[in-house]
Amino acid sequence: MSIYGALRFLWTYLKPLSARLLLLVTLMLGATGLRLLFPQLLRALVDNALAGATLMVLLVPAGLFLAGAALIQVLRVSAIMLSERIAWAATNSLRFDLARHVLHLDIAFHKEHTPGELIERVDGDVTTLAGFFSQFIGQVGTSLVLILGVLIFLFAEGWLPGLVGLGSFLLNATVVLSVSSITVKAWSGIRASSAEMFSFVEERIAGREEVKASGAASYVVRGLVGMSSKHWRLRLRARFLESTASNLTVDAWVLSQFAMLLLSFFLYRNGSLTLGTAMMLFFYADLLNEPITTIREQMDELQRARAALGRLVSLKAVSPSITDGEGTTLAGGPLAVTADQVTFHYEEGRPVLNGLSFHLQPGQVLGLLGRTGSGKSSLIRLLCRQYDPQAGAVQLAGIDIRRLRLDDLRSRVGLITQEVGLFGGTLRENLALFNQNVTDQQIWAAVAGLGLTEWFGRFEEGLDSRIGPAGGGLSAGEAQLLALVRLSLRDPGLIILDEFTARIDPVTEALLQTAVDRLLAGRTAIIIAHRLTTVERADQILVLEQGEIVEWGPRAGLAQDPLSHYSQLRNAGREEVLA
Amino acid sequence: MSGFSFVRRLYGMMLPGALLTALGFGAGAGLGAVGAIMTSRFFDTLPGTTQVPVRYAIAFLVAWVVSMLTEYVWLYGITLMDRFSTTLLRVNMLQGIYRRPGALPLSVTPGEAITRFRDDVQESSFQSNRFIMSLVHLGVSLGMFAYLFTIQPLLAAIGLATVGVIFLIMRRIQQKIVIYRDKVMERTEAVTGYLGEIFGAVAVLQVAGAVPDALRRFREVNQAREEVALRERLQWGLLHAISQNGFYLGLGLVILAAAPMLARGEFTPGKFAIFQLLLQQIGWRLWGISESVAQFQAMGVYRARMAELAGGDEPLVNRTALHFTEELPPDPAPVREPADRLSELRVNSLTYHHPDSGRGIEAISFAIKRGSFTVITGKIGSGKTTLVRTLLGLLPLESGEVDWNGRTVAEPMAFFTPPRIAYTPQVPKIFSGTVQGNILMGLDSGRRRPACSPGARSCWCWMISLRRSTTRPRRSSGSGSSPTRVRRRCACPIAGRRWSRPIRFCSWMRAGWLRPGRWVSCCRPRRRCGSCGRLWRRRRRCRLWGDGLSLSVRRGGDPGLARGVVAAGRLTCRNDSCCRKSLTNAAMLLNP
Repeated sequence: MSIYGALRFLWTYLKPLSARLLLLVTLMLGATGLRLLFPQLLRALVDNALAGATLMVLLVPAGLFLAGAALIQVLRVSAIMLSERIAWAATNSLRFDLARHVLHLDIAFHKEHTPGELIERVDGDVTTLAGFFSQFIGQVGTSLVLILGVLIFLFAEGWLPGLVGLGSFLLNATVVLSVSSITVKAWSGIRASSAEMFSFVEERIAGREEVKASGAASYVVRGLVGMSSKHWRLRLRARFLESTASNLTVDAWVLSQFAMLLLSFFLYRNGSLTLGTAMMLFFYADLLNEPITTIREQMDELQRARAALGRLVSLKAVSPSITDGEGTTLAGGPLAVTADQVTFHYEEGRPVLNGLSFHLQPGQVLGLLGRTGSGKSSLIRLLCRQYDPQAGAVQLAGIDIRRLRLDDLRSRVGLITQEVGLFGGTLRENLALFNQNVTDQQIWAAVAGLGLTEWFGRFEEGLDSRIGPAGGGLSAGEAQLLALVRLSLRDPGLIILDEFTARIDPVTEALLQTAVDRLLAGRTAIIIAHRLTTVERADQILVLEQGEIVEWGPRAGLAQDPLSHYSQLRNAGREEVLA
Repeated sequence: MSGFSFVRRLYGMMLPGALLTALGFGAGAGLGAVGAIMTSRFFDTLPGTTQVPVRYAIAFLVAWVVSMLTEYVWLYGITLMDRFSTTLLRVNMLQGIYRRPGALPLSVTPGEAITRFRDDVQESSFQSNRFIMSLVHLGVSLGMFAYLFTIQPLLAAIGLATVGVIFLIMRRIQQKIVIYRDKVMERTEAVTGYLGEIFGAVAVLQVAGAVPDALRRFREVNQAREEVALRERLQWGLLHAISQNGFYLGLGLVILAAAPMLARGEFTPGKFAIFQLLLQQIGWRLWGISESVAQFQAMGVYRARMAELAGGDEPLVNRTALHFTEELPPDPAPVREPADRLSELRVNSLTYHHPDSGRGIEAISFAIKRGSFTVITGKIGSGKTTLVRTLLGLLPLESGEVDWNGRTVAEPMAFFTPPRIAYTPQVPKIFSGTVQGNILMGLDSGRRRPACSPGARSCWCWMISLRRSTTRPRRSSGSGSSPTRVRRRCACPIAGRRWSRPIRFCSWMRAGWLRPGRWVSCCRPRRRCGSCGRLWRRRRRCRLWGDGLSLSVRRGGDPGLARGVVAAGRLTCRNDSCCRKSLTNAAMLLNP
């Protein structure tokens, strides 16, 4: 993206902070002004001393120098603190914006982008910008002021010192501008090589069972050394290039000091300069290096920030394809489910559901069976509007779900899959999903309603008990129990259970079955089951094969018909048909 | 191991780099001081009538330019050191991880492990390697003070005192920074950890309509980090201000003290210039020293964190031969010794319990003969996988023993590797890279074309006829930060379902064919994916597996050749009627 585009994007986050920015610039200008005065004080001191002034006269510039040095400290610390506050305020609002944006994007987007990648965008890239937010404007601004000030003071001493100063500045600026591309080039490839190395290590740690069983441990170690060699070859090149770039700027600065020394020599010998002034000119030339280096560093920072910014802007440009409907409301109570000629595919030419139609009465339980790939889970995704069908419609209580607001739909449809989604935090936060309006009484009522009060006794600190990140400390079955409580708190009209018993141990299973029975009472439900015992409670059975219905009817009837798919499955007891 | 001996051990292994660094850096610093002295001489000689000042100006220029050139010397030295120390620490940590039983969870999450591999290694080795530069800083600073003392002892003492006070203040600030930095790291981990959780569970949050509440929580954890970070930044601000401008304070005091001497004509402007220029240089050398001291103290934390993965302080800094080459020669194929030929595998009262749940296996004993095919089956949680893992040394056995041809295996983990076994774990792992690389896992690809049987050949042909060629990079199934060059995720039941077959198949090929084992263990071959069943049968037709016995872990109810049934951690059934029925089925499958 262009620099202008980058700055405009940043400005949207800096604009609310413009008052603080103004204060920051003022503080930095104050510090810069003081630094410009130091060489003047030195000249006064040296020239007065050489002229044989009294001690009292000499103490004035010396005292001013000391006071100025102390004041600079105060100004700088205040400026740094202010700039950090600005940076954190701006980046945190950017982080929040991005997280909100990402969380509202489709499941299809999240299938393509791993959490790790998104964290890198929302936190990593934004952190890269932080330095830029806090520093760029203040640093570049004050550096320019410092340069301008030095040039003004030099020209005030005569056009020759002024011209030498201007020449030095131009030389420095030219060098800085021409080497800035070197440093950017130096770092290209290093990030990639380091990412490659650490993803190599990460995968080989995660897959250590396989690595060890293959006897490939030493090969992996050699692979790591090889990647490290490549990384450090690039790093050495980058260090040399960077050093060349910075050396060139320092050389330009040394050259300008040298020029100033020669000029002082000639002017002093002409008698048109005092010794104090000669020293002052030298120290002004000395001052020129720092702002130019600062600007160079900030330009590098800008280059880095631009890459990060480009990624952020393109992330923000992604828009969800699933959007709110016009806002028809759903009635309370159990919901009827209708699929009307639903056709759906993830990729053109590979149909997943093919003109699927069925109608489920409110309050009934549907058992959904079929091989892997038959389209069961895709049907569920359509019901939750994680995707929209290409043709046909999914209706709840006779209303096309595309006409509902997403929040409304999601408050009425509850889904439990194998992935419970537990967060590091208290039991309360996990059950209420961070909703602070849910009271403890409501939670305990839901627990009691599912017959889990006794089981909850295992949490010694009650709802304040902490659950580790990713649900650590709980078995898969126990996590499912929490998911049931979570769902029951929301009182949905349609409950979907998607292979949620797949990983459950026998002890928890009994507990879970009771809880599910209670949860499903008086609600419409769809169950995709890993085990046939789980669909025993279904009123209707639907068997899918390659996106089409091969069987649909009341479970009791199908169970009695020995030729039905359902009966055959039951008799064969071959669970892999279901899984 | 103290921070000092840690650094000493590392330096002992990279002396040439350290010497080069010290030499180059010392020369550069010395020349910088020479440049300053030449400037002062220039001003001292300016009032005269000779051309000497011009010579001093030229000397000033030359000193600086040469000092720039020395930078390449020490950069080369320090890069040698950085390369060696980061690689050594990482290799030792990885080897430490591989020394642990493979199925035993690490004491840290994979994300934390990577943080240690990346940040802890970089921080600790960079700091330890820059320690030598701090010594140079210290030496040069002392030299400069010595020089200033020869010019004017009182002023030098004032300068030294100020610099000393500034140094102490800097040290104090840096100690605080270390404390705050740990807090910031903690809160940052909380932020990224929380982001990972909500991005990982985005479907759950969306379907539950909990996105706004989750975002509110995100704002809270972010603000918690901001508070600590601002405190840390305040310390940094103080540190920067004092290090960059602190010397002005010293100079101010020097000027104040010098004023009477200037008035009496005892002190020249040139001497005055040398004080200004050298104090400035000492000021920023101080920064390097102070930072180094602070990092030195923090190194203990890094070292402990790294040693945890490496398996102790000693293994962490163990001298390992590192051949820095980007070429990666393949491993020789595992050699089949006649002694490895299995006649019987016997397991005696094998016991292992998972530390967190207490579940596991209890006193399991059985014997398996050459050429047999055993299915371990039982309910979920009964200990099937635990049994196989304990047997293979992927979990540390609590008691019991494993006998291979009548001899007790002392270290199952080291012993059960190819060619003695071929093993595919329950959840096969595919690494980023090519399919071929995934199958070979370091073996020579030269004569690895399938030659064993027509069946194997057809398998190979089938595999390379997959939608992409075998050399095309493939993305791993699990990791979050792997390169994004491959678009699809491989998780079996979701969008990338088509890749489940290659994943499973790679794992089989890797284990069974290219490293033909005496004994094959295959965990839940049909798990996760119905279409794997077809491959399973195809594999069986091919007879890819070795000449030994096969052992399969299945969920209850599967047809298969069963000799033992494990339920609730105990061997409860052997050769009963259901197993016999399975035996017949399996025999039919094996001899179509």
